[in-house]
Amino acid sequence: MTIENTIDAFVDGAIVDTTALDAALASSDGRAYLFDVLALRQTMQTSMPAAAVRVTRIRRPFLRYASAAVVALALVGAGYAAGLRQAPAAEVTAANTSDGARPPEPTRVIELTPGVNWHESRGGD
Amino acid sequence: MPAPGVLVSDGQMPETPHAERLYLECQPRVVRYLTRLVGHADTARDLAQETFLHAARSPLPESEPGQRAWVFRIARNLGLNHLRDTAQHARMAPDLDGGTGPAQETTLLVREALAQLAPLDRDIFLLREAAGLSYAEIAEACAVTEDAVRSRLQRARQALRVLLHGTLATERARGVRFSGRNDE
Repeated sequence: MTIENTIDAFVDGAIVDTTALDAALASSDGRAYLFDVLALRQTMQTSMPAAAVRVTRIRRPFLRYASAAVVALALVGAGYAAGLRQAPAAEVTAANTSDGARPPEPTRVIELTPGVNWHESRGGD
Repeated sequence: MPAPGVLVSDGQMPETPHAERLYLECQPRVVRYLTRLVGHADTARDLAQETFLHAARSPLPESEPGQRAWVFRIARNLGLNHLRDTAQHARMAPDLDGGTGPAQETTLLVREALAQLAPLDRDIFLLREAAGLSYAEIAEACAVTEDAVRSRLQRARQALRVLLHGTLATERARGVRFSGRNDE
């Protein structure tokens, strides 16, 4: 049985031959092994993995509103651009402003005859 | 289906006297062992519940040490299955909380050191140090001889002495407490 076997049995609660334990603890290697095993046990007890890391998002109302505004503006802009692309081009008629333009000819001409009473004196039918 | 006379209430505690006693006696140790094995406390608690459900559904050995070994055998199998299923994720995401720096560092160092051990050596070491099982119970749980338990336990301790040299030196400087059976 090695020194380490003896120390292991001792720290693990197994029955140990006292002579072997005496010899094991008399050597510096045995004592160093004992201290390391106890330190290892202590480390195992104090360094347990923790519960799951719960990742929570930090709330920032300003950023949330700003993001919503940017999205809304982008949507409005995209709608406007789409509307421009889909609308038919309007026909534009240029006004004729040349000097040779004349007013249209009259369809009926009534000549003024002097001496004629144009005012109505009787009830009309 | 549960065995006759074995009921489980809301997936929590088995409702037979033996199973209830076993649950009360072993549950904290099973959680401790599984936490070390899978590296994640929440997962360990889920696996521990599953362990006791499995134990309640199967006929238990008659002796109390045999029952403890049986429960830890189930826990070990469930833990190893979990590790196998999530091997890549486990490597990528060490589970550390927002504790102090040195404690986090020690937890990570211990985790990395344990990961370098041979799987059976690590299991035997954890069953001893995290679960507090006796050599006979570990032998039963891992289906090996007691001599194999002794030699593998010593090998694991020697390897961890080297891998955690600095950490153990710090711990020794703080002072060590002797505890014969690590089953508190």
